[in-house]
Amino acid sequence: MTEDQLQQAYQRAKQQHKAPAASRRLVLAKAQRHAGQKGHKVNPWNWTMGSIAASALLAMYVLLNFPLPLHQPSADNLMTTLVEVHHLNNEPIPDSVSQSIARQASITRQYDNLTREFANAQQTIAAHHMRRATLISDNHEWRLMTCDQHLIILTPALVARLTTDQGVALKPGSKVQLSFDKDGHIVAISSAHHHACQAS
Amino acid sequence: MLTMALKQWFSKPSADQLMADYALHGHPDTLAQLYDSLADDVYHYIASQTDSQHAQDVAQRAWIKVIDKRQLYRQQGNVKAWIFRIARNLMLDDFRANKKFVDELVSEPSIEPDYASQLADQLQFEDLMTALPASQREAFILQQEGFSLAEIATITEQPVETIKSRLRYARNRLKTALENTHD
Repeated sequence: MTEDQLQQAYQRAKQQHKAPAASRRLVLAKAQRHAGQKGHKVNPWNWTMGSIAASALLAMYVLLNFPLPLHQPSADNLMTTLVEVHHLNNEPIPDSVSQSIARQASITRQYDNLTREFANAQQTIAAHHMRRATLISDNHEWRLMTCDQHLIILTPALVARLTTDQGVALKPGSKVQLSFDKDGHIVAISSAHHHACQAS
Repeated sequence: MLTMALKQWFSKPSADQLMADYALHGHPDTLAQLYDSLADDVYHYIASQTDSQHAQDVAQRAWIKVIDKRQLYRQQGNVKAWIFRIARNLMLDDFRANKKFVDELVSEPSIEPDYASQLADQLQFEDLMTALPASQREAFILQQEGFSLAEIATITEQPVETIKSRLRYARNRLKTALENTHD
């Protein structure tokens, strides 16, 4: 028997053992997936750094443009135990304030801050007590949330008087210190430089 | 020059060229061509050493390894030898895990009585190959697949002289058995 005959016999035997078609499908599917993964492969380091940079830019943008509203709770979702409405004497309570009041859990007091008395009080009466609060909205009126979760609503006229007389310019999120007389009337409002709920 | 270029343009790319291209670009169509040109050879080589189900599994894993490790392929290498070696190593790993056959395959074969010639009357060529000691059968199949002595020695991690010896025994047994069959 020659080498050629041996080789022919081998090739004939080999024809009986072809690779299964299922293997071809499996292998080529794997190759397709592999190619897809390679096509969309990203450098994890670049991706991480890119994400950090994008987050940092977003944070800077927000801080520069919207420094305080991020910390401002929704006015409709406030958890308050007491609502106080402060307004000038004979000043009608605006509808917006009335609606706000209606949405709140309870209102216990409404304070008339008499214009003249209020003006005098600033000059002559020492504050009976002080409370710290955070200004949470200035859409229609000032809403001040105290550390003990009391909501104080100031009417626009009273706000105008307070800001004009005392030169305070506050924005939502500002920490303020409220001074009250012995009857609970606001006699002064000023910026608080420390955290609103730290002891004064 | 032009003739060579035209010939190259129209000729079917070799397995080595396909693998070099796949290693570089990873295009699935290139792998499909490579698979079609070598898959039967790889499968038959493994199937001659183990059962068909295990051979299918080993061959699949070998090809998946080719996909995963394509960048490790050396462009000047013989891709068929590379894939055969991958498949062989996977098969031996399985054998070692199952403590099966491996001694026979990796060590010098014992010289047995002329078993093949005893069975020649009733066995076909395939059965005669199966009757060979595994190491001789492997060397014979690799030679039939076109590998040189040096390449067979590399694939099987054996000295060339050992391969020569195995081939001599394998061929003689097969020839004798086939001659007896035809008589």
